[in-house]
Amino acid sequence: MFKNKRGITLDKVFLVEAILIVVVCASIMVYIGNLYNDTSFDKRIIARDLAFLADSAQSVPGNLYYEYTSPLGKKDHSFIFSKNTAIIAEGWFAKVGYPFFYNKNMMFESFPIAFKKSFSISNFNNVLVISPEKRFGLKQPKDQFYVETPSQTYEISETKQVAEQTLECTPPKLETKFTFDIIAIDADGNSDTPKQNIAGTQVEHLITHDISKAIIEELNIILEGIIIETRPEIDTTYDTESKLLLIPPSTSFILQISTEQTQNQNNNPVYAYIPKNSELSNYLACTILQNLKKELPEVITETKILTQNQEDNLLLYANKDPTGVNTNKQNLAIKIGIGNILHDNNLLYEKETTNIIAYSIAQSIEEFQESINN
Amino acid sequence: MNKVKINKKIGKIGKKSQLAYFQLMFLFIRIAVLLLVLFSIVILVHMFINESTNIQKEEINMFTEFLLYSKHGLSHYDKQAGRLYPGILDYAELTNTGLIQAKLDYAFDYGDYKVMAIKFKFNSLVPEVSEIQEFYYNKERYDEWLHLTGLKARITKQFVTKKQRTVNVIIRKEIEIEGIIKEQFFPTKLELTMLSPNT
Repeated sequence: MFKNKRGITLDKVFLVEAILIVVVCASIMVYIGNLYNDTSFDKRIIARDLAFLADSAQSVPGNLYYEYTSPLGKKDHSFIFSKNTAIIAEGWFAKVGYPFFYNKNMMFESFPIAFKKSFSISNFNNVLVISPEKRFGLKQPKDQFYVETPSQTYEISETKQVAEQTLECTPPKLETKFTFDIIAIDADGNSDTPKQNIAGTQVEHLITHDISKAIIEELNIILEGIIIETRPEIDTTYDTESKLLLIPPSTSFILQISTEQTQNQNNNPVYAYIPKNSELSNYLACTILQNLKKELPEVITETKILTQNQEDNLLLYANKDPTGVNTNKQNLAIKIGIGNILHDNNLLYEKETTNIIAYSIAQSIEEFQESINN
Repeated sequence: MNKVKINKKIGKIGKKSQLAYFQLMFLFIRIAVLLLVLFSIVILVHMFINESTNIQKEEINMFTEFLLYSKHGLSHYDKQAGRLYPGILDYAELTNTGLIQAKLDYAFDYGDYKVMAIKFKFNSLVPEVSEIQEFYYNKERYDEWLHLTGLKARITKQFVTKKQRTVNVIIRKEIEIEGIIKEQFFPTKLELTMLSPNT
């Protein structure tokens, strides 16, 4: 067959062509086979499906409850919803995500959904909840709504009377100049059982995060060159196991923003909790309360400065140097307890009011720095 | 006579060397067609994947519905009564560009992943409505992406899909006549132009 020269050339070409056809066919089969076995295509579709589901749940005019079942029908997938991305993963790996919008007018709570075929998504009274179990709003047993009043766990300081009656704040005399190098702001309330109103529509950490963010914005404008340490998503400023604060050691001021949760319906005071023997904290707390009362005279009728009587992060912070009073930067720590989350609608639920609170606190910090160094 | 001529011609072509070159020429065409088929299959599969996973049309539809039917959208919401008036937009709100911008940014926060940019334009011959300026959601990206919607961009760069939707709305204006506040309504068309990059 290959002895004829002319025939050889032609047959060789045909042979090459035949091989090429086989290679092409094989490539197509392999390509299609890979597509069939590869789940990334399915995951891409489901990621979009999840994102669109979250978009839709936030868009409905009324309330909504929906149970989503994975079209893949397998239990080896995890679904993760952050504030802007819906992610599907095989186990915890091979993640595919797609963005969805977050409506800031709503509250968003998502729980990890691991190795589940289905999960629930609900939008009740502007609270979007994504959970492996059936869940509406931020519902909790009734007995968890009420906690002990702060007056039972904190004792009123000797300086309180002065601050309450006259609101005349006297700056302590310092030997050295005081500057805010690093300020740590802690938005309180990020726990498994957060403080919230009875309807579950207002949750402490969402309010405190908003106020903290607004304070940071204000401080960035009015104080130059300071570093603000904050972790708005997770409450990690205090490690309960090691009993240590997770903030830089050279932090000059720690400010904690929290809300109260008591059964008193009206005229709930704004509290400022300070460590023992800290004149600096007392002075700054006094300035903050004075400004708050001045800016919001109709809403804030009473203010109180309380000295802490139990061990928590503020006290530990202050105890780093128990003898230091005036010149010790690390002794400056304040926890502001603003309003009662159960009843103080005007104070906590209005964006305008919370912005004024943030503004007052930031202005107080500026005033404090100016007056203490003069 | 004719048969003889044809046979002679066939005989010439049928010579082994000439047949080889003739077939060789077709061989290259066959290979080219084969490659074309191969790429066509790949392109078809990609088109199928894109078509199956593309939700841009649904996104703009949902965005529009949100604007019209949600109290966090553009429709007039009576806070005291807790009642929403779908499709009725406040004139005072629309003429305050900063406010409308803030409202949109607050309701549609995509974080770091900006997936769409939208231009809002009112089409009406009524003077009150024509006074309302066009406004944007994510304007910075809109200006940037507008140049990427053509065919050239589709071939050379990342392509951006442009979609339009027009909805009928009513603009509500409050006017004070002799100390009494009265409402005026102007029916108009709201044109939404959405740009969204292909992922």
